[in-house]
Amino acid sequence: MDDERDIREGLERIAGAAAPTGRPPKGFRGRARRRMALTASVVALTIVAVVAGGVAGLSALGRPPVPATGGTSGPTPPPWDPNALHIAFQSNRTGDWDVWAMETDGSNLVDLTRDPSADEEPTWSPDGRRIAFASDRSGDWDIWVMDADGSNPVDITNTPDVSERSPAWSPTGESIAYLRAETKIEGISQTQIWLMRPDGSGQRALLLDDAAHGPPSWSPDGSDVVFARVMRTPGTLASSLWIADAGAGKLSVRRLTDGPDDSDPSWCSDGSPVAFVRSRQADSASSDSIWFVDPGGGSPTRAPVPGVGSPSDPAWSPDGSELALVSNSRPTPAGDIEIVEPHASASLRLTSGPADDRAPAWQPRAA
Amino acid sequence: MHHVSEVVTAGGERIEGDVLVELYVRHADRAMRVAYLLTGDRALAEDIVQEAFLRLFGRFLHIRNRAAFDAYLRRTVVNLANSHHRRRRAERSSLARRSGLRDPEPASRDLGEADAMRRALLRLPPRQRTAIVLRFYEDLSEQQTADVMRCAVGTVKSLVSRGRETLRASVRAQESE
Repeated sequence: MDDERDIREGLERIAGAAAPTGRPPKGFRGRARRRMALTASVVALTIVAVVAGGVAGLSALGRPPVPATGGTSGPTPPPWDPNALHIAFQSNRTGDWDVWAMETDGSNLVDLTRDPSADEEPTWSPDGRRIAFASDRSGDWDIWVMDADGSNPVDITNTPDVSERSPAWSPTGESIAYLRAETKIEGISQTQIWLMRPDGSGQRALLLDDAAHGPPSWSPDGSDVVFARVMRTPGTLASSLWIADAGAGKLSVRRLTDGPDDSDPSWCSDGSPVAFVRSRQADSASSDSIWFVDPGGGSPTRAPVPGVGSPSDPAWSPDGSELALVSNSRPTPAGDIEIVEPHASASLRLTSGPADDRAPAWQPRAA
Repeated sequence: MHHVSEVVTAGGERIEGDVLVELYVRHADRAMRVAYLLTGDRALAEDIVQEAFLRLFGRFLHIRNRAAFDAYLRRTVVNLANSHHRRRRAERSSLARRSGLRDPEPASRDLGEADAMRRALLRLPPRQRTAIVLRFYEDLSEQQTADVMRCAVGTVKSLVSRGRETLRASVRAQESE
């Protein structure tokens, strides 16, 4: 038994014992049925809430933050240069999603979370000393905050029946915007944008409607939030960018782009346009590119950035001179992080290899 | 808390929901077979496939190249199976330390003991087993296998070579018993 044919036949025989039924496996069918009954636009963004729905327990809103304790939750202190400027990102290079950081030339990669659970979507505090991120290490998706070197991770939402993801720390440091998906009757849920203080207190909805929403990004002065809003139009779904006033006064919401497939906005740089990803469908294949739009309004324009294969996750540098983004140019679904300078002809690839690197976030310069 | 005055009326087709269900129907069987080959445990394979779909659906809008969903799914299933093996290894060594017992054999609850090939596959170290399954069941190239396993092509060649040797020796040993 040593030729390939024997091995292939043996594997086929063994795999046949998995007795596939063509139906979802036991335990998934209920979820699949519920999903089919969901309003479609909500499903894609909020399926994580169904995961949370599998965790029994009462609402823990208002519960005090819980520090990570013991086991693998507390990372050992990695080598860390507090004087260097970093880009945080998520990577699966160790087999699961962790939050990593590197210096802005791609050097000195550090795994900040080192937890077997998924740690994703980092965002920096404006003083560059802390990082908020989404993690499922407590059994469902919560927002965690840790020191910039990965120490002292704390679950600041700690809600076993609610999923929180995609945190964005406001430039004023007073607020974190995030996506919240709560499982309701029969698993029906919606992803909404919420706000809270960095210690997890004061959780409140920025707005509630029946659309699904994408990750938020703050205006430079911390007064507005831009986000993708997914709505159903006859026969399809449309995702466009919207801006909401995050102040305590009367809420004003305005549409920034017409879509139909705009997402991943990055603002956060004074004087810079909002950068976002625009997808276009042609010949049954989609192509993505980076676009700019003036936050005050006007027609979006294609960003004058050097060619990057199928870009996503744009993030402005603190001074607005460069964009970090993810290049998905290889045939395998793995992203690399690159830095591009608008109007320049070159890009700098910071990560490469088979790992999937995503969601870059620049460390703000200390005041 | 604010309510937006403009509410987009629900209605029309369930396009995205249908897409998710279609993805499940199209890919679940294959994913289940791969997870079963990697773990040898049907219930665990079901859990892994379920978890893989939930993770991918949760990130669906972030998946830019949706045509490559099967590749995302394969990688996620392999990652989850590897995570299981790592946890098992940690649990076994912890148990062995505390009890002074030998490291027990990996579980093979569902696989029939009569099939030498099944036993031989389960006895392979996890990385060799993963390489064998990806190369000869998923029919991936050495480069594609290396991409999924996040290692060099040379490592894949070595894992496959050693895996084949071990499989052959294990099956022959069982046949001679």
